[in-house]
Amino acid sequence: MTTLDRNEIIKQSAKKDSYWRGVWRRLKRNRLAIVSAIILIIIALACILVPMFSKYSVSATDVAAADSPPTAEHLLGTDNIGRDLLVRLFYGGRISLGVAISVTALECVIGIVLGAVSGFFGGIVDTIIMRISEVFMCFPFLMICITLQSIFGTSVKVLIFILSILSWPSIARIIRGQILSLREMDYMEACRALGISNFRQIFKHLFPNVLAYVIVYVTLSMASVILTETSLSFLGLGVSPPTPTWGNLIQAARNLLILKSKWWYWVPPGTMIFLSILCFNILGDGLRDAIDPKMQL
Amino acid sequence: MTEMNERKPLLEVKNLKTYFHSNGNTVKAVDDVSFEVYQGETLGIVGESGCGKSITCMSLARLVETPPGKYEGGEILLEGEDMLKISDARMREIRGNKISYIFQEPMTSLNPVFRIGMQIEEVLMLHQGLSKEEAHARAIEALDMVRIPNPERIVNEYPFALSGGMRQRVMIAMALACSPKILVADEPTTALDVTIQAQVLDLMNDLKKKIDTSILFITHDLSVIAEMADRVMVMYAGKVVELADVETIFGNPLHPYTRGLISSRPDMSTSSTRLNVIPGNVPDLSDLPVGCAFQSRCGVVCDKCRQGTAELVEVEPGHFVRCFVTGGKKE
Amino acid sequence: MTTEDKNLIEVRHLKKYFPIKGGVFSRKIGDVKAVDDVSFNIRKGKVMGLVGESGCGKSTTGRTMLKLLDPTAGEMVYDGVDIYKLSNAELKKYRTKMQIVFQDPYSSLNPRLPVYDIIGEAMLEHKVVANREEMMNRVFELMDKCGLFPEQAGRYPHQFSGGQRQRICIARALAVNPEFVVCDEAVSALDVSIQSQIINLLKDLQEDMGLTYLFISHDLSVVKFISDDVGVMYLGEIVEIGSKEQIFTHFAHPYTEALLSAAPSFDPTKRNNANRIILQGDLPSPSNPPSGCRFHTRCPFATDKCSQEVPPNVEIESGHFVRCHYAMERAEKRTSKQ
Repeated sequence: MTTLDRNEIIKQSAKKDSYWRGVWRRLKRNRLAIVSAIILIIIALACILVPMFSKYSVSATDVAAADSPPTAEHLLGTDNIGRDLLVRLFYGGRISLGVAISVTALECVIGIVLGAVSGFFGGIVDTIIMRISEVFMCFPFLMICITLQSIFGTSVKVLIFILSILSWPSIARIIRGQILSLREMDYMEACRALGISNFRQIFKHLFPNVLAYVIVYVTLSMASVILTETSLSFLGLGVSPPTPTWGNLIQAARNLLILKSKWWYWVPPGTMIFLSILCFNILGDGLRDAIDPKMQL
Repeated sequence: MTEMNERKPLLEVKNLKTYFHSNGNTVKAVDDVSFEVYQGETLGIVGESGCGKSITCMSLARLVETPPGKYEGGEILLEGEDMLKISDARMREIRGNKISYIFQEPMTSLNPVFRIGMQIEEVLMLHQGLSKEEAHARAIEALDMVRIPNPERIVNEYPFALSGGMRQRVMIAMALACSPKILVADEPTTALDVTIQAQVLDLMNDLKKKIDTSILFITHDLSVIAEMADRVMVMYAGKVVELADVETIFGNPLHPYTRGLISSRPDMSTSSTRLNVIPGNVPDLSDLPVGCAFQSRCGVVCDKCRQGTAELVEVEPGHFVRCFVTGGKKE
Repeated sequence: MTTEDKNLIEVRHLKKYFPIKGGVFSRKIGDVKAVDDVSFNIRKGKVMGLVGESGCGKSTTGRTMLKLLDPTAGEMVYDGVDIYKLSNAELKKYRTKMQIVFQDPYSSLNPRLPVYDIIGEAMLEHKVVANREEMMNRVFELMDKCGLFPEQAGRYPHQFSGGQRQRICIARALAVNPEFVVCDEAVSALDVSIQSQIINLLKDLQEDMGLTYLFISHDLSVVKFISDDVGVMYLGEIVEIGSKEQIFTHFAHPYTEALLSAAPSFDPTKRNNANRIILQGDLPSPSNPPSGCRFHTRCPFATDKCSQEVPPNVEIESGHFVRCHYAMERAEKRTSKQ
């Protein structure tokens, strides 16, 4: 066996035994989490594909067929001005999931950067960032929403901005706490003793150890953002009609008559909200168990 | 030793088996362990991590969590009563009253939100039916007994106000408050400094003479065993490999593992340039070989060792060894 | 300590204080004097043992020497250069010369990295090797030297036992060809049968590679086995220092005597030793050390003088220093007894 072969074999075995392989193995054993992941993928695909291939467009009205219950023509019926509810449901899903993804991404970027800087450098930087995060956590959520929207209007962009600016402190604090405790590990001290550069310390030693927390946080945050967005839209503070979202589709059912007699207005979006939030939560729990059952998130 | 054998043992453990089941694996943490403890003696149990010494002792008062643990067989007779058969209610009466425990970590064994006195009083009120006032007086006495200065003041302190050594004394006071028959001390001095360890060991030896309690002393530290024990039981991979009185264990160890343990310690009195070594690693209990668990690290291993497990044989009165090679009966 | 040996390391008046913060604005309200004016030399190729109880500052001394903690005051002269005066870039060069092995083999290895990365990382960082190919070969060589199977280089720390992990830590420390290694309780967390393996390994490596060790431990028998010179620390000070023979047989400080007699003997026939000194009380807080001699609160021989006057550092024999008012008398008493 030449040394090259040996190196190759060793690298293969390193890959096989790597931490993320282990996480994947454990996750695979959790049926419920896998089913949830599959459901989420299906929902996401439907949101992308259905509006693309449907013969109806989101805002096209068909007054003749208004207020119709599900038929072969309109699988989920139509609303009071004759818009196809199936298309609106999945188009709304695009917006709802899109908001969730953008908000989570944005809050994670802000949160991870500030949390990492805070934890790694400590001292006065840490104090300042943590005080700012406390200020953000003290804002009364609805008040800020109403205020900002009355200033900037109720668009999707504004909603994303508001939600992410208000939610970054929690991930920042998680990351900071993790880095603070990792910094105390002997292997970080060994790095310093070996003269490993700060750059490598952060990206090779700290980041992979923190990544697990970020992944779990992301899934759980997706669920909570969907919920927040729907509640806001329901209250009329989120995305404004005619743009559909799962929240404002339900809002259309905010009167007793519709609630009682026109179930196709609100059952499908309600199911979607319920399913996606449930699946994100189960997946998040499954990931947490696969990564570290003792993780506190 | 012979004189002791004639007396009836206080505690008899017969063929105790405590297994752990998880993910389809069975870990035989305690595998067919038998021993006796006599009134007033100190039995030292020595072994490395994972040898089953702690689980053996936790099993005595059914402290092993089930599941994942399971008592697969055997008897634990304390004054004739089988600990594995009695009801949970009876077990709770016995815990703290007949069998008391001291654990390694004095920091986590005390509840941080209650005063020291309260924690001792609670035990006394529960097991001996004392009134609050009587219990308080007894708690102060107990603290005084373990040589805590100003017991009247300490009794009203919270655990965080005390140092490690002081907390371990409080634990001893608590364990001895009901004058138990047996005190199980699981690595009680491992977390302490040498000078504090000397204080605590000295105290335990004194108390033992005073109140005639039997002590089961678990440790990985042979020098502490040499200091404390009357008889010594050496455990390896869930089994007893050697059992004898302390002079025999140190003077004439027979099992290769015991020999290795004793000779691998740097001795303060001699100066050699290299230490004797037991090669290899501490075995993984879920993956033991057929035959003797020590075979891969043993210097005198033979074919027989790879096929079956030796019995624990009494090679001379009171000296039991589990080994095909060195454990033969002496003529 | 003979004078013909060259000193590799000279620690001069090293101090490391940790501020105690309190109050609303977390202002500094005091200091924990973890290391307070410690000086000693380590001869090239020799092992200096440092013993003491927890909280006496022995680990802090080791870490401050490597500038893993910033010193409060003092000098650490390595081969004629005070490393505390170096810039960060210059210090990085010295990092390869001084290494450390920690106590806990579990927290000292990054669980996400395979062993070859753990050991090899610093070689690339310091350009000890030219490329990854060369790095791998060097990793195999080191693993072999430290009693590990090179075939296992692709495994992760959790697949190894405590003793093997400690071998990995040693291999990592040796990766940059250091001359000086701090062993900070390097065998304390290991099982008894594994301890002797690691001690032998450390000793073999020291002899083969001509390493210099600072061996920090609370275990007197281990220190006695491996060290050439020994320092005894109490509350941030070195109370007695000298060659191994001087400390273990001609000890003069009451604390050294107490430590030696407190260590349980390995011989069951020697128990109930009437000469044993059992110290009373606990270690005082290093934030508020006792006046005069720091040991006077627990010393069985303390007099009024001890609580009032700080004892001088007396050289009772060549290279044997004792920080006690009665060092000379105690030493003479013993020689007359013998």
